[in-house]
Formats: sequence, C-alpha cells, structure tokens
Amino acid sequence: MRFATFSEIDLDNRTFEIRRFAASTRLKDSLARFGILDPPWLQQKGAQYIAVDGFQRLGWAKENGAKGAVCRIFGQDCDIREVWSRRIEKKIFESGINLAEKAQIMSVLIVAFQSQEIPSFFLSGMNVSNRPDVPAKWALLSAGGTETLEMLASGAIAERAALEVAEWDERSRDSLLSVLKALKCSASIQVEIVEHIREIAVREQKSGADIIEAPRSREILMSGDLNHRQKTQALRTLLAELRYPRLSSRQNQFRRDLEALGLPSGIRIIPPPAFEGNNWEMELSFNGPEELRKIVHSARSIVESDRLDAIWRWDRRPGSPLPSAAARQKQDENKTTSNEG
Amino acid sequence: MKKIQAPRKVIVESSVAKGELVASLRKNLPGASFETVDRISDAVCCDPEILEVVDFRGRFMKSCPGTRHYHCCGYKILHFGTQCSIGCSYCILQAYLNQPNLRLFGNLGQMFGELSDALAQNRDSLHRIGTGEFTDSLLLDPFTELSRLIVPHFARTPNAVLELKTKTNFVENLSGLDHGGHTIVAWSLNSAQIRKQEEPFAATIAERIEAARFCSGEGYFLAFHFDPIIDHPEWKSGYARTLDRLFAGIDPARIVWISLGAFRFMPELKEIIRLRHPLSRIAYGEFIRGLDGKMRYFRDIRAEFYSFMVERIRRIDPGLCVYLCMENDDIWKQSFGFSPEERGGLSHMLDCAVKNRMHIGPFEPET
Repeated sequence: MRFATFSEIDLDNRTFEIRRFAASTRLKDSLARFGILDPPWLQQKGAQYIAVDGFQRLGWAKENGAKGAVCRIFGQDCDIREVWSRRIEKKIFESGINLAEKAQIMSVLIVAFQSQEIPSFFLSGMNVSNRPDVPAKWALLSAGGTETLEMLASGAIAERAALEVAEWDERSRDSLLSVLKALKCSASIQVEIVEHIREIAVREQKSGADIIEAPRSREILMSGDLNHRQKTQALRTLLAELRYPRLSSRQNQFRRDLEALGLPSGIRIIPPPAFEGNNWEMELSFNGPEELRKIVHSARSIVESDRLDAIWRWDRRPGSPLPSAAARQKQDENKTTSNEG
Repeated sequence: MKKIQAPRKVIVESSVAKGELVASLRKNLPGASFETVDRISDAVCCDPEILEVVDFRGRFMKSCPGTRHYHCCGYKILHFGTQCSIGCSYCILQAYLNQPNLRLFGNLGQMFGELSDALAQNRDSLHRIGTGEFTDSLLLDPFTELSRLIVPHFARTPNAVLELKTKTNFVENLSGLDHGGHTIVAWSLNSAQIRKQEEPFAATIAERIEAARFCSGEGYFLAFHFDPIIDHPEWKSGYARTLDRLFAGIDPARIVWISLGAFRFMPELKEIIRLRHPLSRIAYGEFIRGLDGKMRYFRDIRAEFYSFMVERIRRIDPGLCVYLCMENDDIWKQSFGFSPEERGGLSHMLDCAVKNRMHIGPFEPET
C-alpha cells in the first residue's frame, strides 16, 4: 500500500474497467459521507500506474480536489491473469453483479484463461453454467456494445433469454432485447418468446428481427391502447399462431364448431391437449339440481344429433362450417333415396 | 454409399478377445490397432475412429420399447451392439444411450444361446426379430460378417423371421447364404431431399433400392420403413417420388411390409440437433408432446402423411401390408379406415403378412 498522486495515475487507461451500465447513487452517497473506505487498486506500468479497481472512487477523489489516494499496488511484473483474477473475485464477492458486468467479466475470463480452464469458483460465484458454449455466449453479449450492455444492466432481461439471443445477429438481438425490456414480462415468458421467435425464424429462413418487425408484431408492440401485460399476451398469442399454424387453425376451428353447436351455457367440451389421444372431457357448471336438469335437458338434443360428430371429423378442412341441421337432413334423405334405388 | 470409414482402433475386453467376432475384425480391419483391456468404461465423448468390443452382461433379447398409448408391432430385438456412425440428424441414438462410441458385444456364444432359448419358447407362434433398433443392422457387417452367422441361424428356425434394418448398401455378405426364406432385409427410406440434408452419410435412395434388388435376387424378402417421415416443403412430391422409384425397382410381391412413422423424438434430442446439426430445421415442425412424453407432429399433420402414403401404396399393391409405427386408433382409423384391433391387433397383422408373403406359419399348437 502506498499513497499515489494523480499525476502518477493514468486514469484514462480503462484496461481493467468493468462498467455497471446502470446508474447508482449508493457509492456516491457513501463516499460523500465517509470518504474512501476501501483503497483502490493500481498496477505499475512503466513510470505510471493504471487503475485496476476503484475507478469511481479515484474519479470522486480527483473531482473533490484530493492530490491522490492510498492505494494497493500490484507490481509491473505481476501476471495479468493474477491481477484479473483478484479483480474479478473482488467484484463477484463484493456485490450482486448485473448481467452487463457478468458479460464483461466472462469476456475477460475467456481471453485470460482458455474456455475450458476458467476456474470453476468464478463460474459458481457468478452462477454461470460450465457448459462449454456458455462463456462464449457471454463474451458475445459483452461484444454487443453499449446499447446491449445497457439493456442487460437494466434488470429487465432474464439471464436465460439473454443467453438465447447471444448468438443472434446484432439487429435481431438488440431488437428483441428492447422488446423484452418494454414488455417487462417474467423470465419464463421471455424464454418462451425468444424460443418461438428463433424457431419461426429458423424454419422460415428469416432473421429474428424479421419476425419482431413484421407488421402484425409491430402493431401489437406499438399499440397505444394496450398496456405491457396486454401486449405480452397478444404477442404470445401471435407467436404461438406463427409457430404452430395448423394446430392454431384446428383450435380456432374447434372453438367455432362449439359455438355453432350452441351448447347451453354451463357446458364445456374440453379436447385433449393438442387434440392428442381420446381423452375428451365435458365440464358442467350449475348451482343446484334444477339448473343441472335444465342444462342436461337442453343439451340432450345437441348431444344426440350427428352435428356433434362433425367435431370429430378430422378430415374436414379447417375453416369449413359444420353442416347445418337442415343440410344434414337433406343429405340423409338423399342417401336413403339412392340406397333404395 | 461412400465406403464407411473403417475404425482405426479396436478396444477389446480380454474375456472376448479370442472370440469369433474379434477374429473377423482382425481379418477385415488389417489397418486397425487392437488393444485388449480388462474392462471398457463408458466414454464421455464420441470418437468415431474407435470400435469397442465388450463382454455384454445384459439381455440380448429385448422387446421393442413400445408404450401403452400407441400401437406397437410386437417386434423383438436381438441386441448385438449399440450406436451408429452414419450420423443422421434425427437419430434417436444421440439422446438414447449414455455411451457414444460404436460398440459390439463380443460374447456371441451367449447371444446365440439366449436367442435359441427365446425361440424355443412359444413354438406355436411366430417370432419376428430384428437387430436394427440400437444400431444399424449392416453398418459394420463388412468387418464383423455377423450376418453370415445370424442369417443361417434363422434359416434353421421354423417359427421365426429375422429383419435386418439398414440405411447402407452393405449387402455383399448376404450373398449365397442359406437364409431359408426366413430373413427380411429392410431399408429405411425417405424423400431424396431429407436423405440429402438429414442423412448425408447414408446410402442414397438409388443405392438402397439397388441393394434391395440385389437381395431380392438372392431370394430374400424385403421390407421398407418410411420412418421418420419429416414435414418439409414439397414433402408430397418427395415421398411420392421415392415410392415411384421403389416400385419401379422392386417387385411388390417381394415386400413383406412397409411401415410408416412420422418423426418423433425425446425432448432432449431437440437441443442435441441444434448443437450437432445447426443447419437442420427438422426440430422446428409443429411438434406437440405425445401421450408417451415424446415430441410428435400435431395429429392432423401425421394423419395427412399417412393417408397420402397409404393411398399411393394401395394404388400399386392393395394387398401389401402397410402399418403405422407407434400410432393410436384415432390416426389409424383416419389413415386406413380401421384400427388394428379390428384386424386382430397389429402383431397379428404382421404375422399374417409373414404367412401370406413368406409362407411361414401357421404353427401347430404345442402338445
């Protein structure tokens, strides 16, 4: 430890800087109240020092007219990996790091150590998976630049969603991150949105941005009438339709068929999930025996008619209407006639 | 098919080092180094240049891993090895096994013993047995010559048929064998586009059909499996073209059955495909979670595949046995107009196909 004057410190050298990318007054308040409690770290570089840790503290001291500060000094011959390791350990140990800081740290680690040799205590300290592809994804996010890092630092982006978009092209990545930031939805919904967009894009050989910036998506995202929850729901519905067009079409057809049947209120027919298998359910809601009798009575004619069977006619193309009772009767009459003939 | 890259290193467990299988490998892999170890432990990473020969301690005879929700063909598996180096993007083996290297079971004596015991049971019923569930039946046959041992074994068994399933054209060893009309040689087929994109190291469709013609000429019966059927642009014309090529090259009377199975996979496979086959788009179809937990195409898509294929096959040979692999009644009825139960069950349908085409069975009840 020694007192280093600002004339000896090259504050413009930001080699060891890990920026927070999010405004915080906590440190400034503490410095104003107590001054520097924890000495900054410097490393000797030729005749000067460069900052390793404590960029804001040193800046505050200089702004407030100090001549220098008591600092911990690493010698010039100190291995850069060793300096980085200590710097990162201190950062992880001291405070909850945000995603932007995590991305910067990982990009340093991936350069300082081979991807497979990054010490496991760093990864576990930051809760980063040790899968071989993960550090590279963090490094890509870090390389995304200020705009990406600011969005990561905002706290609005879920870590899994961020990693999912790390390998996307810059336009798609930033476009999606800004959508997620605006929607303020949960981590699981973010991941669902990202996965759907990615899979639609891959299947249609488009970019993620093409999907996000398509007219129907834009209409939802730019709507002045919807709040962020409604936008999230509308976007999820749209993406599900795009990702599963035939299933969605079948579901819509089923809804229309049920409406056309005119089941009494209080009865619901529930298909098996994704129409897979034969486990259909009927749900009855009633407030007592009288209402139950009434519902069952009014449902009887529908249940006994063959219009109900049409719902299970899978070969009917989505969009074709249920046969009306009159049309059905006519069909039956014709059938009888031709059989007799 | 490009000649398969011969394994450069064969690791053998000492207890099977003097067996018939290792002797064949030594003869047919003169350039490979052989290492004998007490016990081969499971490898973490796949090394395509390594072939392992182990003293297998599990069961050689297994039932096809069907589930109660979907109709299974009731086929039995003769388990002689694991893994495959053809490298198809959709291959379930990528997610299925916790050991990644090609592996053969060197204790053939035990394998044939267990096979004989299984065949000795239920002498009044037909045993349909295949080897292509956990590996390709013929991929390593040029080196192992295993077909030369297995095929004659079935020729001597009146109530059993063997099905060898492959995506290769490695059929030379089948030439001149005494098969007794008890072996079916089967190929997995697909549209040419899927073959090219998703199974690029397998034999081409033309090579497979040519190999089938060769086998037919040797008196073997044949089968074909359109599995996995994969949704892709122009799938109808793609599959129709393959069917046309098949029936142009092969007499339908030699075909015992054709199976159809839409692509389905364990959910873990999706990420594996993404990592190992980043250009593949097959995992991004309209998959839903099936009743068995596997991902499968939404039912309307499956039904459309099957109806299309069944109709095309029926036009050529209405009597040819066509069946669906792991499908439910609902899809069967929509595709065929009947469910397997209405025809005595899927196993019975396949037994009938063996009887009608191969003239094997029925068998006298045991006294």
